Amino acid sequence: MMKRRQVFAGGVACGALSIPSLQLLLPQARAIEGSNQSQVISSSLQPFVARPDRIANIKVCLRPFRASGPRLDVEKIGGRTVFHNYGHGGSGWSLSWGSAQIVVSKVASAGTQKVAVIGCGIIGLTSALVAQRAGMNVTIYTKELLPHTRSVRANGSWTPDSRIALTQQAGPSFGALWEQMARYSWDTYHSYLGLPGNPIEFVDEYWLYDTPHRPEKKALDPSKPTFATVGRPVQNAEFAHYEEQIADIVPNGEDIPSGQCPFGVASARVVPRMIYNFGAFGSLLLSEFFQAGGRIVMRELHTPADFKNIPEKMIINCPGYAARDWMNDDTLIPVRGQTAWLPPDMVHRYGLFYRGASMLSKSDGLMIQAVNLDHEGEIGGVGNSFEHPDRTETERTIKIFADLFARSTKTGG
Amino acid sequence: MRATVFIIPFVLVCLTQNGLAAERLQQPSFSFEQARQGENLYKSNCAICHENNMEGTFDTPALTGRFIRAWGGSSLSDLHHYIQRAMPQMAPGILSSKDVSALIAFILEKHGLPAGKKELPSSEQALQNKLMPKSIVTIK
Repeated sequence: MMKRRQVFAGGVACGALSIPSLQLLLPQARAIEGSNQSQVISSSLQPFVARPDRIANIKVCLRPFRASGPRLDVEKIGGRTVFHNYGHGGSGWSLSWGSAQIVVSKVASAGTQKVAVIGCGIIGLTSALVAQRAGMNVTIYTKELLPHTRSVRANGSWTPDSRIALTQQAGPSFGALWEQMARYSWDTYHSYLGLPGNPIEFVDEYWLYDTPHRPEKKALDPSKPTFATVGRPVQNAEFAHYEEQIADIVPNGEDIPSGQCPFGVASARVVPRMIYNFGAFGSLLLSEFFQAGGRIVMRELHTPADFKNIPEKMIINCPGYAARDWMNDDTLIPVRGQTAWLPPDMVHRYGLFYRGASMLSKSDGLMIQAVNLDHEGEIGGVGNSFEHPDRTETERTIKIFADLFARSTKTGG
Repeated sequence: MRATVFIIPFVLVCLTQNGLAAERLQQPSFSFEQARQGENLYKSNCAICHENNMEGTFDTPALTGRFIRAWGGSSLSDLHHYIQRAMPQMAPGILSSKDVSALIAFILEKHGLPAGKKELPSSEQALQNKLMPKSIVTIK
């Protein structure tokens, strides 16, 4: 496969990267002219209002992590054929369409006309839609609908290999499966760009650093424990990463020349990030499902024996983290994540990542997330199933941006 | 005046382990003391998410209303198994069988079932033929 980063060996992509919102809003923004770049860079990206009294909502999610990657096997339970589709870690939204395509393909091979889907989070909903598009008659059985499902407690951005698996436990063949899912999802999401209400869109995310040298990923330390020795992930280097495999389709972003970095930081990079606006997108998917004749039954499953009470013989099982509770699946490891939401800010439409704090301006709201405040990396939150908001964490995160903006104002950066 | 009506489905099914004997399903009974123990456990383990009044929040399910719709008519052994396995969510598995039965007693009391002399049993096997009420209607 041809990789874009090999094509642009110089590391800087040619061609214009349009940032129309910044061009409109920032009179000082200017195009950097050079032999190999034409990039609109702002040295005066405007601060958003970073104050804890702006917090409108705090949501906690439990990412359903499995060391070997998502569960996609098929088994017979209670006279039903159950096609599993759960355990996508922090990559559920991003891989949803591709994962659904793989599972629905198996269901279609079984030659059924009627299929049940358990769960109506993003995995259940996309499974249902892909099954409808394959000509099936679909009924969703679910305990909750959007916006009550855990799915909408995510941050809603393209992160296809975020805590998706551990390299060793997933094995060498998983990379190809991951790539199949990621490519199919990416293409499907693109079909939702440019629609009224912007269910899917791109924003520019600025990665800001205090030093010119950015942290590098550490290699596995053989002297320390790993999942293989203690049954849980211990080292950040255990987590699998495959994003390079789709570098030919996902925009790479660009380094911002020093001296022009936003907020006076030493080093910065701007990356176009695909985001999912939950309100607009969730509503659109549900409408599509109903328009195609889909039916939803509100029902809780309490034990695997409950599968026999589902009338359809073929079942796509998409319970997310709940599989740990009612399906007794101990392979699921909770990974706590918390997002806070400030009121939507239609003026400051960008994203920031700085000192482990993340901000994304979405139509759902201005999302604030402590991604790596304590330098724990991907191990952060692993094994933590405390699904209760921690306001202190959010206030610490907001303060990182507030302090950045205050310093920037002082120095005129 | 307040009156609460419970509907427990009385049907004959085979529930014993060898599957031969038929047993009549029963309305669960629990003691007042057991419910008090459950109340204390609820306050320290459950109320942080499900709230003191069991009404839950936007993201945490209530243990009233839809809870009865979801669990009504189910064997209490399933509910017992679920709670012991999955709850409290931040530290699943810390509640003993006896704790879980006390919690169920408190939940039943909260829904208006009267306490009796007999304790709700702790073993899932002994709970198999006891059902969550399918319908609770309070007229006041």
